[in-house]
Amino acid sequence: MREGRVGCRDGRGAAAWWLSAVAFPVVALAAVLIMDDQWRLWFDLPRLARSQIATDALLLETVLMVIVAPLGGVALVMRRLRRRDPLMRKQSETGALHRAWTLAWPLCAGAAVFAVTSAILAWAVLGRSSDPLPLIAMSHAALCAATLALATGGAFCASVLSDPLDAAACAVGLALVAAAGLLVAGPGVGNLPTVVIDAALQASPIVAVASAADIDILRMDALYRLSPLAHVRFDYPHWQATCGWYVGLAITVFVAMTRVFDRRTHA
Amino acid sequence: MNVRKGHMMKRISLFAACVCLVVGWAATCAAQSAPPPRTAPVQTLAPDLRAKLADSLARAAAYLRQQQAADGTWEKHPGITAMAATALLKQPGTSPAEQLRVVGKTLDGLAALAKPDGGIYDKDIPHYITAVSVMALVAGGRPQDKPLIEKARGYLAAALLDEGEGVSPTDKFYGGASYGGATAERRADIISLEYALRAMKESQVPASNAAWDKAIKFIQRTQNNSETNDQAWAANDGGFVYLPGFTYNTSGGTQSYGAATYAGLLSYSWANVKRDDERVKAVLKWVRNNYTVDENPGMGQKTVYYYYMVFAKALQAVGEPVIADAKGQRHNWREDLGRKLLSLQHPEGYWVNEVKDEMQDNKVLVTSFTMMSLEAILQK
Repeated sequence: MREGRVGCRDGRGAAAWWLSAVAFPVVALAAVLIMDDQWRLWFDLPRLARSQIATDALLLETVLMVIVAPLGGVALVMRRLRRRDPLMRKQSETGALHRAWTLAWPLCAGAAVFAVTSAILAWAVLGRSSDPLPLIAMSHAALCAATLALATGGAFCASVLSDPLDAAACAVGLALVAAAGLLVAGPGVGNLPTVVIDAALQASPIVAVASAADIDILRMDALYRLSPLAHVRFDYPHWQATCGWYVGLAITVFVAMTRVFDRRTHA
Repeated sequence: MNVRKGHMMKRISLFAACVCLVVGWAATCAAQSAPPPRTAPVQTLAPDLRAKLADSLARAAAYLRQQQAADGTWEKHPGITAMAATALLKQPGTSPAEQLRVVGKTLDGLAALAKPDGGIYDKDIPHYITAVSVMALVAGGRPQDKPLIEKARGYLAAALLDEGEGVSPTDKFYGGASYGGATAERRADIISLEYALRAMKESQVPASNAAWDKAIKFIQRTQNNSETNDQAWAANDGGFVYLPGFTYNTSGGTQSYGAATYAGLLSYSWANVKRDDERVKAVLKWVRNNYTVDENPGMGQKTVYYYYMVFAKALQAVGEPVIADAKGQRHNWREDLGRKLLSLQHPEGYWVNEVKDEMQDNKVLVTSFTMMSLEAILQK
């Protein structure tokens, strides 16, 4: 039981899982500070510079999350399916609910640890005042929901495909298409109906998280010049809708995944 | 007897001269103090065309009224709502009271969007939405909106990128207006700036406000005029690009294009740069060399209705009734543009662009732009 609660069976696996969730935002923030060459002036940074760093860090975390979260989901399920996994040996002894829980909780807790760490860092960057707290809460709730959905998607791919590399490629490919497909699709997307554009923006974790953080990502310099989207009518997704859709998607995919997972472990 | 008659004549002449002087002085004073008529007739517009344009404007206004939602908004979009309200409120030949019956609720809705920092917006593109909301509230002229307008004009003036945002005077974006937002980029463009300056001018930001000089720095840096633009890319055709070093001209490079150029000319006008200034003369040189009402020069039909709006407002602002093009042909721009707009109006009263960029597939927005063009044509 104790092993099941850890999520990854052996100590090293569990440590790597949680350490990744915590280290990920730290590394992203450090990268932004180094790239902006701002770290030397850390204590003298004006408010707007801090806001810019927080924005860049959140966007970088989200972009990296689109790749890493599906891989995390794949790794978790593949680990469960490995013969040496102690839980595998006990599959026949445990109930379906318990089996689902042992998969769900590391996904949920990993996403939450990642988002909370990122939120704490954002709060520290923005000057540790109470003013930005609502925005930080909204954006990181969206980040948590999107991470959970992508990780669950990776877990689903791993439960369907037997080869870990196939599963990883499929999961990351789908995540990238959802996240950036509309942004890099070229001039044709400008002619799509507004309702389709809005739905695609909602489906993009990058746009959804940025929107929850009040970042006008489509009108940022590069996308404004390159993408036709900023020049047509669209509405950014609301953070509540983002959380609702991604959590709903995660639950649906998770239910499907557990059924496939059960079939494979009993086969 | 003759001597007395001569004295009498002298007195009468002196009295007549004094009367003439007093009457002349009084007339001059009256002319200077009288407010300009709202719809001063333009002598350069043929009467039949003028009547057709007024009718066209009335049909467009009727279309906008039909499209208005019960809560006073248009298209569930604060920017489009503010533009439509402004177009209706500025319609010549109608009284503000008459128009306020239609847009009173609209102005209430815009006023309800006011934020503690002075901005008037819902969520997205706050600087843009505040600017057009200010235009609508100013056009409405309601006393209760004055405090909001004063705060909003301060918000717009403070929003121009400067040292407060960590932008130094040597930065190419210094003095420009961005879209704004909680996590705004330090980036500006001439179109956003024109909206901000128009709102600042209409809400009577004093000419002594430092924001105007900062704005002029940015305007210069988007102009292809190497005499006054310190950017290495600047050429010398006098026109404008979208933002320093970047253009939407389909030929690429940093070539000037129509909408940006007339927005630049209009921005100079709002920022109190006079017509005889070398920078304005340089823009007028571009205008003469690229005069057309058939397209947005450099972009074809893309954003052509925005082009028509800034074209008309800019030429109205600089007081150029006739443009002599590069071939020496003289154009009455009011008649040219008026006839063009009449030919493009749909029977239902609206205008719409087949190229949907910048939301120009939206009939309400494009009709609002075009009504403002017509209003500039019909006014001096």
